[in-house]
Amino acid sequence: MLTITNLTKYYKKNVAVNHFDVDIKKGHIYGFIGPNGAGKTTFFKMLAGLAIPSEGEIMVSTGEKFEKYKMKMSFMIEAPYLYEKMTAFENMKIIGGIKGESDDSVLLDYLKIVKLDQTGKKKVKDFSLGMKQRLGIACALVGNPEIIVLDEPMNGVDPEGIVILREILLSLVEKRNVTLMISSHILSELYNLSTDFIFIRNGNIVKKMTKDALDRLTSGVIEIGTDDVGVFDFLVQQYGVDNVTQKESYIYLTQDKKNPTEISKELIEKGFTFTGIREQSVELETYYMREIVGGSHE
Amino acid sequence: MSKLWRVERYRFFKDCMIWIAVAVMLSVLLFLSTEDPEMLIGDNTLEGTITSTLKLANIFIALVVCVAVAVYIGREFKQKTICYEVMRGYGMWRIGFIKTLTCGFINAILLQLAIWIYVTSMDGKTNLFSFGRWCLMFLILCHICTCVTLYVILFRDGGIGGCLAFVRFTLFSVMGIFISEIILPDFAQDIYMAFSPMSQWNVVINVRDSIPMIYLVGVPVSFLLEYTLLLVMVQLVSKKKDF
Repeated sequence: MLTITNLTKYYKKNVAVNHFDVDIKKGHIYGFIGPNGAGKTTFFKMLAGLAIPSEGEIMVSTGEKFEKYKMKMSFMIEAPYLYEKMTAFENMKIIGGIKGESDDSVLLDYLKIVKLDQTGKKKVKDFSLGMKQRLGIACALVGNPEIIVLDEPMNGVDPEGIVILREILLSLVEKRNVTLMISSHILSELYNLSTDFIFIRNGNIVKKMTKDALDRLTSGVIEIGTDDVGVFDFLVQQYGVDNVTQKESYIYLTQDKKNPTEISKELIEKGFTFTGIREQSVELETYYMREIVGGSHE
Repeated sequence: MSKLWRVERYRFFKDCMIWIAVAVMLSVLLFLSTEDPEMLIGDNTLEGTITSTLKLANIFIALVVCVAVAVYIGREFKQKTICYEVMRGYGMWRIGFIKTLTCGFINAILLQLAIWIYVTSMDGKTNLFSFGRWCLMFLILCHICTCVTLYVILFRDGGIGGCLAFVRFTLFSVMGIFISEIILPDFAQDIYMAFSPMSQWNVVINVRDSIPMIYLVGVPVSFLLEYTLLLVMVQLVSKKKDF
């Protein structure tokens, strides 16, 4: 859909975005992860036309000009931009109107999706942060965009709201094949949503990987489910007390010399019983802290 | 652009700021008409009262317009709602043009209406000013309203844009008249005055004297020149400055 090549943004001597190369494919959900100030928002702003790129280009696979293609994109960047002295519906009417949607019933449907259809004459300035966020997302949904860019859409949203948002976004991808580009600090949610991850640090793309690739990574930790009290002592004796921890009915063994099959064989030979044994995959948060944040101290 | 125009009209008429501005303008006119015209212009006829009121109202028109537009457009930059139009791919010159249709032209129509209501309420008739003078008054109001809008858009700030616009249409004009009297030859001074909205207004509302030809040219030309220049600057700045 979009090929972003060498996209760069300088602010005087600072490089906010350093030669980003990203391929955006239809129907994918791209999770952008990075610490504050990494360059995610600046990157999104360049896509939206709110920041002028210093270098680089964005090409559309259909051959049309990106400036024209932007009409098929929707953005919510930094925070929802709303008319504070107007109601939710009036905001939808204006923002929907800018995007070419003038049918009141359609605008109401979008408000129903985010559960803001009953706000009546309440002005946006009296909305909670979560309500404003949901209204911003409703505005982003208007116009049947092909690509939706959401910069930290879950900020201030309550757990129920997060679940609703996740369902809306997944349904958009599934039913309308919409492409999403999302940044968030709630890594667990980003993991549930995304098909691809792009890790950013200090204005650079550090790593790009698919969710499948992340799931295939192993952590070097073996999880053993057991109620046999002897297993813990045995493992401590074999591998050292620093490498064995227990939490309720699970023992976690950190080592990289033997695989789960070999460990299970050891336990069986010693007559220990256990309910299950597996190698833990890397959690997104663990990977991020180890590879991205940890890398900043090198 | 028609979508933008429809949305802008909807927002404009929903906002109470413009109605407050019109009400304030009408109140100012009625209040000023109680000032002693004999003292001001040596003429205590009804004609004199209306003319002196409208002369005094010149500065208030600029003030009311600057404040109203600065708040109305400035809010769009503060709340960043103007970003929706930019994200949609509309160029800043197009956005500026559409906003001048509401904050500029419609505003001018409403202010003209307030003045008309004032004149007919005082006069009981509408023939104090000829059709030509009403048209020129309208053009001067358009000049002020549209250019104030563009100043705010250019500086992307209601406070700075509004203040600068007020200085330009009041202090700058008055200072310019004094300076031109000192340094410019007569013919150049006449041209300068004919291109200054403040002196244009005073000439147009003065029904005792006919309007010199230079003002008939100066009113529309000065409006078009400043409007075009500001629109071009808005577009140029948008190519250099991020939101």
